[in-house]
Amino acid sequence: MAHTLAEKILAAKCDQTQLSPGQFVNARVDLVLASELSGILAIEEFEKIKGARVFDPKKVVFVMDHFTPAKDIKSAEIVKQCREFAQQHGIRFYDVGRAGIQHILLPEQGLIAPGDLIAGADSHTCTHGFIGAFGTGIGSTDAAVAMVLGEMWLKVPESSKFIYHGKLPKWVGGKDLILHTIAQIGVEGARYQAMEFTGEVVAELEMNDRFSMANMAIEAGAKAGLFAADEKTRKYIRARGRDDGLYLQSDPDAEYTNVFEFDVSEFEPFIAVPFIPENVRPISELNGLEINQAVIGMCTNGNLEDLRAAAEILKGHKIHPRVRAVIIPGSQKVYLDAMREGLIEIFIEANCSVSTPTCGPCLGGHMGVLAAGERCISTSNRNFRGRMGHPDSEVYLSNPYIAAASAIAGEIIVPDQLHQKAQA
Amino acid sequence: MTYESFHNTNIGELLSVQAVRFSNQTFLRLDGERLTYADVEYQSCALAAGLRGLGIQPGDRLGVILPNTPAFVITIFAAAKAGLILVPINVRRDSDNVLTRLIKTRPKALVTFSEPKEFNGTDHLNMVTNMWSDLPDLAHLIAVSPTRKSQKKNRIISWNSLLDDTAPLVPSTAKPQNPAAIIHTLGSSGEPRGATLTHGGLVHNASNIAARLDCTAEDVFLGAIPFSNTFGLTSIILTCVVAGAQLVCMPHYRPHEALRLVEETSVTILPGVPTMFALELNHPDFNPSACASLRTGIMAGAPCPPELVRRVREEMGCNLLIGYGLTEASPAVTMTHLEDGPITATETVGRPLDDIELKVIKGKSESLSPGEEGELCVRGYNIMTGYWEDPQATAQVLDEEGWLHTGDLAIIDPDGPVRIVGRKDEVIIRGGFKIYPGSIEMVLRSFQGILDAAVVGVPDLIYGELTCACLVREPKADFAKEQVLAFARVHLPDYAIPDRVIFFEALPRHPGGPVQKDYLRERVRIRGHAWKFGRNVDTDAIIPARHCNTADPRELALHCMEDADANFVKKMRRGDLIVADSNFGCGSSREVAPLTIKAAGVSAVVAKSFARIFFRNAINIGLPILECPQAVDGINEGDEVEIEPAAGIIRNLTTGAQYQAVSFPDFLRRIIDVGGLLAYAEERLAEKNSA
Repeated sequence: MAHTLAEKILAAKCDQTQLSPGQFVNARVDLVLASELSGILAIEEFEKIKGARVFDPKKVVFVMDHFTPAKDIKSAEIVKQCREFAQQHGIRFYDVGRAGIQHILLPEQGLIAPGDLIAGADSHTCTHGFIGAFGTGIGSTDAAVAMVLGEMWLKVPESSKFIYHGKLPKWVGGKDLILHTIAQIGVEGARYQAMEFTGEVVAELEMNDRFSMANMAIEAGAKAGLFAADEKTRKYIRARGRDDGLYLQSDPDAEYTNVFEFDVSEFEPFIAVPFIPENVRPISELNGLEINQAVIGMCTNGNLEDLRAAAEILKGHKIHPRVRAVIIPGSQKVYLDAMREGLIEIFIEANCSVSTPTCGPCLGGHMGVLAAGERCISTSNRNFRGRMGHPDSEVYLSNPYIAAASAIAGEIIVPDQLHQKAQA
Repeated sequence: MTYESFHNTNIGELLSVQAVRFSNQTFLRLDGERLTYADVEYQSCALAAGLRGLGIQPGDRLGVILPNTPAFVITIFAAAKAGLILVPINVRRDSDNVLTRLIKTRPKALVTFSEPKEFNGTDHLNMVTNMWSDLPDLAHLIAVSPTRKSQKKNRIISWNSLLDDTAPLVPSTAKPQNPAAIIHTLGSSGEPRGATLTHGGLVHNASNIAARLDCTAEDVFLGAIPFSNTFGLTSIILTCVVAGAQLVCMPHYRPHEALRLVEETSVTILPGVPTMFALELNHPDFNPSACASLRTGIMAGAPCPPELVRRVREEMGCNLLIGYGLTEASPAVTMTHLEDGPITATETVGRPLDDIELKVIKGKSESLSPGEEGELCVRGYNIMTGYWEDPQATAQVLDEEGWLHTGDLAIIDPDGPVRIVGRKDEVIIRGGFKIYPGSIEMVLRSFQGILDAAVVGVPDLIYGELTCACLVREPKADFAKEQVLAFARVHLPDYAIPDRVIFFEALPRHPGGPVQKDYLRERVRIRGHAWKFGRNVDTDAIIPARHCNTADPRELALHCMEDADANFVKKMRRGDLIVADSNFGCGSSREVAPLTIKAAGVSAVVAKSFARIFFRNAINIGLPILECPQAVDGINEGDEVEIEPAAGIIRNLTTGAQYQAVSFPDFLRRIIDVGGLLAYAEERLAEKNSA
């Protein structure tokens, strides 16, 4: 019987040769992940389990990234409790200064390999599909139980295939592909499915573009967003000290619930407009829309390549006087590499604020919260009402080129038009 | 007093001894009639001789269907003196129930009466006459005060005429270990089983009760509990005789009558079931000063609400004792002491009577430590010899070491008092939580205006069972189920708050016996109003604005449901349903959103799929979900919806449409069954460790 990539990974995690969609399994997890936001609840649940011990301290990771550096006493205390729990149980613990946003940090640290099953108490755990790992968001109770058992229950998802043909135009990247895809299928379009991204465009995509796409699979309701690991993946994980993993592919005759094919050649950059990620417009429809803030980085577009893209646009420019721009590298390493490459200097010269890695503004936490009536272009993944602050503020989701260009222009714009605008 | 001299005697001898000691003292009173101990001794000997004269031999059974009258008491002692085994049957049983008991025990003679006017038109003599042809062993039908016509027509023997027998009685030589009575009790499926009780067991038990009550010949008992059960037979009649005290007979129980008798006959000891005390306290005629004679009492026969016990102690001004027992144990097993402190006296059933051993077990025989909950087992002089001619049923409850497995779940406190928590076979397991209907019923009965309450578990696809409270309101009581639920929320743990409340005119009961719960269960369905949520109610969309104010995920999540709809939680009624599209409630609130809904009392979620995080967590905490996309599309907000959970049927009563939910996977059922993911994890952990 033919199997999809998702089925093959899960089968390997429960020692089965055959798994069908709809089947319930207890699968071994390779990594359990929590932030302080979900970790604190997981600790509470963990302590309720009689005889609870961490199944393997090396496979449990707490990353302090949502409200760090601690924004107030409450967050400081929550982080403190997580820190103490980590010390007590000897688990991996990433604190301020040694950390980053969890989904950028984990692969960077070589903690994830193709074919892994990642149980993360964060809905964007699906990100790890970018290297062919089955990452999925779970609740804190699940995280507590996975920490103890080293396994999680799940229903084997159906899979849908997304095939991208053609050649990527200028200024168009992985972020645009996923925004367009969500626009086509809707935020429920892949409900409890594994989204499998493939096609000649995907084969050419850089790892950071794959990262952005897998990251937003949850915005289409997916259980996981997967890329079959390939030579690019191998190169990527080798650079991070790993040379293992399962290089699996779907069988050619595997069954899919839906197969979507897109020709990307005519694509232009896409923007998700308030208040739902499926509300996607081509940038040409939004040209000239004034903004107050741009946020570049965080998890969806917080890799070094994303910062390079922003720097490419910002170099030699000042951002619009009305606009604040906040650059958030995805990890300490990304920050350091960016600094060594001179990107940070470019950002500061352009009057951008450069933040320590944090999820902060994406969820309206800190480091760039919006006031009523403000409009922000952001490289993050959600634009629900009030997501970045006041319920009457607005978030527009874009790729880093567009966000950077818009910061300079003070309005939504493609980089090509910057020159014209400057002349006008 | 310990009354040790009665620890090894038979019922006939007990009366003979007391008739010598207290010969001219009043024993029985009914209206103006008074019979002394000597009178009762004389009449019971005469009746015994009369019965023997009919050819009834020691070991034969004597059926008795009489109300609480002196004739009943005399017949009891007469049977003992003649060596007959007494088979008393409650006057409230219908003819089918009477016949079953008579067929099983095959009495040689039966004593009954005929007062249809007093007993709702039931003519007991007629009833038994009509079934006589089905009772080949029944040689003699004896009636207290029969009409001449019936005597002649139906060969009925007059009870009074038997008293005229002057033949010398050869007293029975019944040994303490010989059977004295077969008293029926109901098995788990409602079938009657006759507990065979011995002379020694009954009298010894009575003497232990008398000692606990500190009884003397000065005491006056009110005989309101039917003499046909062990509470009446042992704890009232025999206990009274052990003490040489008086017994005021009460053929029909009515609360105001009981209050009148307490005052007029200076009752000192008031035995009753909790309902009787509640009816008396709540009666408009109740006047604390009219209870001044009361010294003590026994509350037993059903779970005793501490609040009621406290009220009796305060308002009736008596040092009430609580007892626990069962027919198979003659009946008393434990009682509180007059000297007990307020908690033991109101919240426990006290300590075991002398010479009775207790243990609490898990499974078939594993003994538990004090403080641990398990099935209560009793061993001692008082345990029945077995169910009459039913070795199979006997073997189910009486083990080889003589322990009676009571089927009651109990905790023995480390310092001795026993707490009864419920019936093993009535336990409702709701999403892994054990719920004892008795304890909920007890709380609900303490709600002003509730006359009767029964809680049944109804099968549920997800929870395994849900609780349904079936209530009877007092006449003129005017309250809605919301008030009952508000009361329950204050007095019960959250998981024990009834999922459904249904009012009944009366609860179907076995006459004088327990509620017919099987019948009730059939009538219970889950019904509520639908609350519909679409995909835009995504808590992730609402919460972030609050992140600016707090970083505590618990605080954030607590607000999330109210944010979805300002009055969401307030408007929900227990038992309502959520009909949801799948994007409902994911994100940071993923733990608490389901908890909030659960706290609001939603009984089920009808969903398009088990898809996203919300549903995963709902399952993990045991919130029921029925997966049925068609129902989600076919139900509008506010529609009245009925669910038959076990069958997975969803009916929209507003539109008349019916839907079938996807069958719930066994895999998830296990998580629900054990009580949620944490409990499941403990099981898995144990499995893995043993592997």
